[in-house]
Amino acid sequence: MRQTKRMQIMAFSLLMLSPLIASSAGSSANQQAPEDWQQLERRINTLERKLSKNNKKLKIDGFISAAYARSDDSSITENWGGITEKNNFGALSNIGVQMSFSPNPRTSITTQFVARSEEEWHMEAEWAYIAFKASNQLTFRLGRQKAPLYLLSEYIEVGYANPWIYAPDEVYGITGDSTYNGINMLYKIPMGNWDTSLQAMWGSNAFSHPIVGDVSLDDLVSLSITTRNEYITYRLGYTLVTGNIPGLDMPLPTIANTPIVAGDTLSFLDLESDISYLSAGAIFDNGQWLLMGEFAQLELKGWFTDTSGVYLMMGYRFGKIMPHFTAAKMEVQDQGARNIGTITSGNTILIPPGEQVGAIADSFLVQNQSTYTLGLRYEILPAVSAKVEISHITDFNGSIGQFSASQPPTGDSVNIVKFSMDSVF
Amino acid sequence: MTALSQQKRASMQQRKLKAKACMALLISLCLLTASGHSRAEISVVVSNLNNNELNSSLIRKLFLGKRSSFADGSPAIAMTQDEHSEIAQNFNFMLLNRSPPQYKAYWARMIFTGKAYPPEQAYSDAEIIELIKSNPSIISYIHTSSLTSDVKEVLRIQKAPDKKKLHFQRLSLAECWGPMD
Repeated sequence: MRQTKRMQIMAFSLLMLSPLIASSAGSSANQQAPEDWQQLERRINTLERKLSKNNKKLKIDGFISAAYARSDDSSITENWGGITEKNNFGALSNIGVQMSFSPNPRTSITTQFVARSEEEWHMEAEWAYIAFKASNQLTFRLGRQKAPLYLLSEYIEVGYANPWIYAPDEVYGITGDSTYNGINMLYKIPMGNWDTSLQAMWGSNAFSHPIVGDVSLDDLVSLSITTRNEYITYRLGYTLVTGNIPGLDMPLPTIANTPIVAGDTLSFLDLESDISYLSAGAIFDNGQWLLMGEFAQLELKGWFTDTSGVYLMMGYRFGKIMPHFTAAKMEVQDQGARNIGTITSGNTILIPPGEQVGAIADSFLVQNQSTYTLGLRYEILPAVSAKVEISHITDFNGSIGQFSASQPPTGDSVNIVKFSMDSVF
Repeated sequence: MTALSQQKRASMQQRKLKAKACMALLISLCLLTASGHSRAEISVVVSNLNNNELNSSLIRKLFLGKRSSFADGSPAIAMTQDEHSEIAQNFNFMLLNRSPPQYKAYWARMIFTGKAYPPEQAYSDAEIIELIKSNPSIISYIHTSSLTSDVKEVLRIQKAPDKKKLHFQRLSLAECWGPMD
């Protein structure tokens, strides 16, 4: 087991080095100016061929993030990277490979496979679509793709393209999976110095969840408008999807001051509801200052919570080093006010649906927390960066926050330290 | 009223004169630095057959994959120089306002969301001139010192006078390769 992990690390370091080796080989070749005209002519001919076939060739690109993380609370596991008090090598790590082929200038076929440490490195097709460029302004995509729920949703897994090791859980932890099958329309409207694009998506997704079983997300309609100039990006997005999540029975532990004893069951109702995602975000980047902010809101009917999240990020680039600070907060909006289900003891209904069940279930369904993250991003090479971050997570208000555990975090706060190397190749 | 407006006009003229003097000083400074580092000047070039109006904002869009046609609707093929070369890094910094890692991160976002692919690379000014001669759709850039009558210059980029900006350029080559030895 340990050996396989070591092998993984070795494979990682090799992969991390490959862009280094490739770029150093490239640079030594450039230094030799092509003095021989025949050689130059040959190169031009090759380039010309490349250009004329430019849109026909197969393009392969990839990204990788190798990370380490550790928290200071032994009783809980962080939700998104599975971070615990142990040394977590590979937490929040992933590798992605994208292949794109254009049979003609108007059509392209793109697939992107991503393997993540949290899913034991099983390759998954995150994107698999055919795109048709109807005009210079209008592109349609049909197939599997990421819905543009929030500002960074489409490239959140490309560590190199993001300032953080992972975007704030307070906003990105309340989306869940954003991969859908459907049709996407992208319309570009040039307006002076502002580039505006409208994105509309219609689709659905169905998958088998390890705990609740078959989940279906139907009639997704996602609309977003993004407008940007040289420095500023504004984005507004609204997504509506019909969720069908089957109810499940959950065994409960003994809960003090209630008639509930270990072995009693909480039966969740089926969740059939429209789920809405609203997001408004902005980025300011003038090359030195990087400011980002986003507000997001998830609303639905049923036992699952309505949640809103917000983050503000500020970074300044001193050449290759960018220190940054992020404050993020998420809050449940409808605590206790939902119809959750029934608590039964054997064949007897112990507590009928109502507020009391809500109060009990809230202890493991409500996620309130704030995170303050101090980070440093360092550009080792133009395609390789190293990041280190320390996060102070607090304001749980009796909830479990973004952790999985039977109890809320033992102290007032949890600290997580993370390190990652990110590359694109 | 007339006295007031005359006064105003006089002060305006004075201000204009001052501005002109400042500009002259700036230009001469630029020329001084330019004559010292003529290789630092970059010319954005197109085919002589290309009569489209091109401004820096449009050129920026072409090189960032936000646009793929000239003003008359004909297809535009942006072509860059080798991304590790000094000219490419200066161009990316001065026109596109991106340091090498920022340029890379920009294209990572575009590629992995399926929006666009970075331009093809050429490896010398001579190659670019030859390519433009044979394909009028190409827009690229070369050192101003390499300009010939075979191509048309549509924009000239001076060396950045800002110290901070120069720092970005330096780190990209010398500092990046330093730790490897």
